[in-house]
Amino acid sequence: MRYFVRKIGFFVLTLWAVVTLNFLIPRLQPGDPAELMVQNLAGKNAQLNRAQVEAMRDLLGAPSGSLLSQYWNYLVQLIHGNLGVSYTYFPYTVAEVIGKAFWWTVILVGTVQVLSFAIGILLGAFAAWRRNSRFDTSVTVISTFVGTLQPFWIALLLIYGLGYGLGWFPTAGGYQASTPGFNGAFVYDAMSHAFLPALTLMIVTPIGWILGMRNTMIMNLGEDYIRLARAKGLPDRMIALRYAARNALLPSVAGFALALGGILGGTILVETVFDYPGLGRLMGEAVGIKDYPLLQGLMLLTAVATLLANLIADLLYGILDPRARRAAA
Amino acid sequence: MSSTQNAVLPEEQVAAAGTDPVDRWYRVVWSSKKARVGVVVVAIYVLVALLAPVIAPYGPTDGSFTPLTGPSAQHLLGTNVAGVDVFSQVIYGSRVSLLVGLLGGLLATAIALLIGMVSGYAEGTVVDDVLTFLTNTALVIPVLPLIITLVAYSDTRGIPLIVGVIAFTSWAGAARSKRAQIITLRNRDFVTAAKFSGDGTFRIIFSEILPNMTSLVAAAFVGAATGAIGAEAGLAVLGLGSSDSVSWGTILYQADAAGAISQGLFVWVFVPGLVLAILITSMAFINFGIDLLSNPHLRED
Amino acid sequence: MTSTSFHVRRGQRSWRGIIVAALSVGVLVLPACAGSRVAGEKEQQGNSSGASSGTIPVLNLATESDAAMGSLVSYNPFAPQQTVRTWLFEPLMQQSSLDCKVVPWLATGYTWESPSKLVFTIRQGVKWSDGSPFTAKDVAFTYNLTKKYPAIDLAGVWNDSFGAKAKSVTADGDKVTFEFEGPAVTKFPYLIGQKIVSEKEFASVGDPAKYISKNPISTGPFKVASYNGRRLELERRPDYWQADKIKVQKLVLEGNYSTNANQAAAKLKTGELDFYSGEIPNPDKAFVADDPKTNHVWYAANGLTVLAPNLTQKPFSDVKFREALAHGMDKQSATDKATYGLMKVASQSGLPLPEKDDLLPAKYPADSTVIPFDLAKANQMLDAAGYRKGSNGLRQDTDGSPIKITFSVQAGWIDYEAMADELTSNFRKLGLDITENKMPPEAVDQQKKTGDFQLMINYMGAGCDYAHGMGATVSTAEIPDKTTIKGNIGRYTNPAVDKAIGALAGATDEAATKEQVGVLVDAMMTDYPVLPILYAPARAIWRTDHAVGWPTAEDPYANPQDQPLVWITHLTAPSSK
Repeated sequence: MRYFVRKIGFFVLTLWAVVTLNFLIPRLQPGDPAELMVQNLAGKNAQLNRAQVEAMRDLLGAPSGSLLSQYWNYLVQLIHGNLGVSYTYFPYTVAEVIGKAFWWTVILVGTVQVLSFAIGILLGAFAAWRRNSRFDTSVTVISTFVGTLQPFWIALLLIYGLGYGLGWFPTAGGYQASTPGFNGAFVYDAMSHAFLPALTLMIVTPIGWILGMRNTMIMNLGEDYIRLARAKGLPDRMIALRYAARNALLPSVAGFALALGGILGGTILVETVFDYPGLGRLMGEAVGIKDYPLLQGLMLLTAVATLLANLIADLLYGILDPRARRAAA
Repeated sequence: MSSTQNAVLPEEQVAAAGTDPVDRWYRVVWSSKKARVGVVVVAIYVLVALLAPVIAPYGPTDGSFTPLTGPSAQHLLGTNVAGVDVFSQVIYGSRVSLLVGLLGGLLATAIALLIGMVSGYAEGTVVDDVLTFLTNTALVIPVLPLIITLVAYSDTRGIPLIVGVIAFTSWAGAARSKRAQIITLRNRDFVTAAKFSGDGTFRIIFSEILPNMTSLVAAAFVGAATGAIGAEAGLAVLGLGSSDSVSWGTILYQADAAGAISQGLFVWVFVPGLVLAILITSMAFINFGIDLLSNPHLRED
Repeated sequence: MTSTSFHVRRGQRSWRGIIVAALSVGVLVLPACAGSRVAGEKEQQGNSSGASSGTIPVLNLATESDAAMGSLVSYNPFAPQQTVRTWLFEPLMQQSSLDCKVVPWLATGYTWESPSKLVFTIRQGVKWSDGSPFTAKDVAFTYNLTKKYPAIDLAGVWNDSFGAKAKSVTADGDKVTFEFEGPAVTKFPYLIGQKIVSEKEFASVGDPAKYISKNPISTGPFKVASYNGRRLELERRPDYWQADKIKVQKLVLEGNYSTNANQAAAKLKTGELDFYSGEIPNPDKAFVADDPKTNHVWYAANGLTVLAPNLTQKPFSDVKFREALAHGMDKQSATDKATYGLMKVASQSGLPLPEKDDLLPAKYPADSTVIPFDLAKANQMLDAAGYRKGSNGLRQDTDGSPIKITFSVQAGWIDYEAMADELTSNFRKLGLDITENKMPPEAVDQQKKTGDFQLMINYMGAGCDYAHGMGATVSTAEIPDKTTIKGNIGRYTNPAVDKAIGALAGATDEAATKEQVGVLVDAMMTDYPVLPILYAPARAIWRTDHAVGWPTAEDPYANPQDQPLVWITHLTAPSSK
């Protein structure tokens, strides 16, 4: 029990730290959001219209009071579920803006992660089983190479190769002519738009799972119980699937939970390049325009998702593996 | 990637490393074919970086040529918007990537070692709790967004800032696995002996335990350096790289900003991405060799 | 925590999400189907363009909101992000910043009865999109609304930013009268640009800045036909007050390319975009060269990009030093690298030439005001002014102390970076010890406020309000303070210039304007407060296979970037095909 209480305690404490950092980082930096907004709307080759800047300051409402009272306000608002109003999308709230982008990214990256995980586990397990075979070598070498390519770079090549060169896929946006909703046309539209971003991510994500699974599996194959199973004359396939792969899966599943939490980080560039209406694109935009409330909301969302995934992984571990419970307590 | 997977491994597997006196660690690493290839390729990169002025036909900032020409005998990869020879930029770019990898890797490893080891040695105490809390916090803050935020907000953007920011945001994973490793080493006889002879905590950690972990430190360093090179490229591609030097990421950013592909200047985009991927792959290959240390089962017997 | 709970509330969406996710797995193995769909769409467009007789069935444009989440709709013309910026609401008059000609729009005419009293005659017979008549009362209502809510007073009518503030705006019959507390002629270009809204829609919405408008009542040539959050279709209004001039039946606005110029170039090439006024790198090569008959580009001189030294610091406080620098800049090479040679090098007069040749004082022939690049002459001038080279080959200050110059550059603005790189290498050839400090644009802005810099690149306005356009760069009142960026970042002061700028606020006729602008030009030509490098563009990149009649360099009847409402009335279908 102590294990679980500690883990949850840590969760709350870390959450507080993240929230505080979230509050501090934007405030420690220079730059006047009102000026930036006006400049951004007008373009850099335009004189800053002071009337507009004044108007924008009125609109956004300058933060008032001491840093401490601002912090207190921020916490109170947060507890009430109020993330503030986006500068860029004024008067829409941060929650509304994030809500629009949320599912696009979750579906895109979620699908990619699940697929990558499945492919990675399969390839990794098989490579370990046929260790040092030609299959093993090509899987490790190729996945290492493509896994280290820059997603942004892949995206550019795909856009011009499959998008404009061959004209197979739309290259920008999340959908086009259809009406959002659950209808065939829209689902089809959205899927064809998601194809290139998904392919880009699919090229780089499986490598971690492949190598991780391969390593753990090889290690398990050297364990005594496998030798025992072999000595008993169990069929190879059964040893591989029932024993080695199954046991090797546990650390990977825990890792998978963490990867799901960190969905946002890797998608900023890819979503931006494809003009995909998800969280990554939004984050890139918020950084560019200095939309502090939106940026804070996005970072909070990401951090909380990662934290929760961590917590769940920890708790699961504690249930599944009593040794972990003892070690950490 | 492979180093993060390490963090997930149960602690016991890691413990055996570096204790077998016959198997010197570099021999183990060299025994892997992949690692050999990796070492050779990285060595070539280092040579190119050192000899950049000899190899590159022009200076990396010499903008005296016709802008935006395609590949030719004079300019193997063409020229950029500012009339700079792209091939020379790529050659000199190796310096930035390797430097960021080296410094970023060192700094991140140092932070990870310090925090991870102290925390692991003091396991169960308040010190450990505080440090673990720090580590966990750093681990859950979204890294790329944080880097972008930090870099975008700071006044000047030199290589030291990039290195610092990358190290500052990437030490946590390694610190966590260091902590796990030291917990298992802590109860070995030689540590107990040192304790009884009255040595201080720091002395025990750094002069008794650390020498027994060379291979693990090396693995952490290669992992961190690989991560740093990738992170630098990611930042530069976003236009947030070091502003006083040109890295491969910067070249990609410039190529994209200048619409290289819509003007048919493909090699300008293709080559920097490729040399970057080859370097990172080679470093990952070296890590295959180092993985053999912590996981003897992996050895190609 | 909070954001997650928010999404839980929207739970019903998740089912759709899960199904899409599951199905998209299927698409991963069915690439060919997606391809056929895209091809089909192109075909369809090809057909429609050929079928027309005099009308233009569809025109494809980029979306006007430069935000990622298009589906957060608001047609409110006072919102920072508007789903439609151009086609719904209209201003009183249109003025091209290129030639400063005023085109009557919702007002048919105006008179300055005195420098502090302006009267507009409002057009009769205009209908709001809901069918109700547009009147002078709506105009007065709009301006008074911006008085009540300063956050939407983007034209600065009710504050003293470009001239004296307004006292009252009243409607009487078809006249709307503005009374100001003092001379306010300089407010004119901003004031006429205010989009006029209907009293009917805005009277009861409370704070207009916070109002989300989903069913706009507007006077413009188009109204919203459909919007799916990405693709916005606007249809022509048959009851528009100059409907006879609108040949375009439907506008399709889709895609935001502000962070993604390559996509814009590709869409233009394939004909999925008919007009674009954003930035595309090297449009001549990336777009026009593809099909010079159909593909066109025109970058009009809309302002100036200038080198701004900090005049409070040595050696820039010496006019002789600044003059030498003006001769030592290879402006042609800078424009080749920064604008792919599309923009011309700028005149030291501060006026975009030849568009504003008329305003030059007689003593400055237009072509003599563009200072040619002459390193030898620049070196000579520096020698003569006492900036001799030391033993290290670097120039020293007149008192023998070393000169060290830091050039603050906006990192990531690639055209600025290209200019800075070029000028830095030019100045090094003059024996100056100069280094570039590339930093985030916000940090450069900060330096503009504090004045803690030596040299940077700045934008100099060249609109029709010379007091604020050109004058902002040289007026004492426009020296930035700690909290606000203003135009005179070099901290130049000259009483004669300040007097001329004051006089411009009361100059209601062209002769008087020319006289005062002459004072500003004089200061530019003799004091070198800033060193113009090249003209900054108003961009237009377009195709002529669906519509012709766009503003061009040969027929610059409108500013292509700022005045789509003007050019839409000139567009006609291509004659043959």
